[in-house]
Amino acid sequence: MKIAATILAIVVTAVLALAIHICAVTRPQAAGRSRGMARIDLHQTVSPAEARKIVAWLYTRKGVDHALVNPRSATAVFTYLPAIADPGRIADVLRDSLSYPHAVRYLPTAAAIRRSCPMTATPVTNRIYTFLKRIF
Amino acid sequence: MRISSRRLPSAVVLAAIILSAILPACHKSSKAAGGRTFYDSLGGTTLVTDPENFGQTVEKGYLTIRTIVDSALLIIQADTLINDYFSIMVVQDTLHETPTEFDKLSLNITDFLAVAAGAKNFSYSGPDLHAAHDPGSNPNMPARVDSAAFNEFAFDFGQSALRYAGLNYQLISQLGTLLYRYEGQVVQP
Repeated sequence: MKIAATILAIVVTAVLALAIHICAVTRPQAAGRSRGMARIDLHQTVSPAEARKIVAWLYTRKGVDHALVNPRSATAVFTYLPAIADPGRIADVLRDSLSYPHAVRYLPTAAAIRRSCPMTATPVTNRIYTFLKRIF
Repeated sequence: MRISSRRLPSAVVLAAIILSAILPACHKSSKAAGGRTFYDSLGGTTLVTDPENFGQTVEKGYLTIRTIVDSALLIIQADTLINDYFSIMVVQDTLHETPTEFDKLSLNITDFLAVAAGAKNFSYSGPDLHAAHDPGSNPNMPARVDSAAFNEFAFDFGQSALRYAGLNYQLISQLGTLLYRYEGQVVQP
């Protein structure tokens, strides 16, 4: 009877430990580094000083992670936390409140997406590897 | 020709990248004298706090490469000479699915460069570079990547390394050498 109780206690402890471990490694990471990227084409001349102002303004937007503006191409690019920032809304506010009436968020066509860099591919083996790496 | 002081860093980065493009044969391995790898020069396996993953640590060499890659992807997206190749990064994500296309590209390029630089604790499991860039085996490649596009890609990485990772010109040149080791797999005849 005592042996059975000991075995049961060990099994329950092991199951609990496993459950806690699985929860810990698979829970969504709120502070994880998943980020999206957005691009706004300004369609007007931008001076380096204006570019710096736009960058500063982008950093005031909630959820914007990293921003830059290339004055030569009149393009603003930023990364953002997908659960917090709305890049479409940011583009709209930039257009309306910063006097860039032609600014528009660039969204690629399906054809452009297909032609894009193939390095985003994540084969099944890659996913399995990532999963195992997270567990162990 | 006079170069203004504001353009000087760009000019030096360009020179470092061009030099590394001309002399890739001198660096067959990522190991320098004394067995020290490029990865070691970027911080190596020393564990530091990961600024983007709360409560976790990361190898300093990997963090440096990730910083360069992430910033380079922003620079590239604002670079009209090559941003068409990377438009997938700015795709609309209405469902907030993770990882995002940016996450995937960042991870794959960072892993690839880390392993190429000499990292031992990481592995690259993304697509084969040669096959992925060959229109013959990848129907989504409409045409071969040309040399000018690859040069611009390397230049943007150099800019990122200088501005955002604080690498000196010697390390930027080594980064260029590392990138150009794979030029033949991306730019195919």
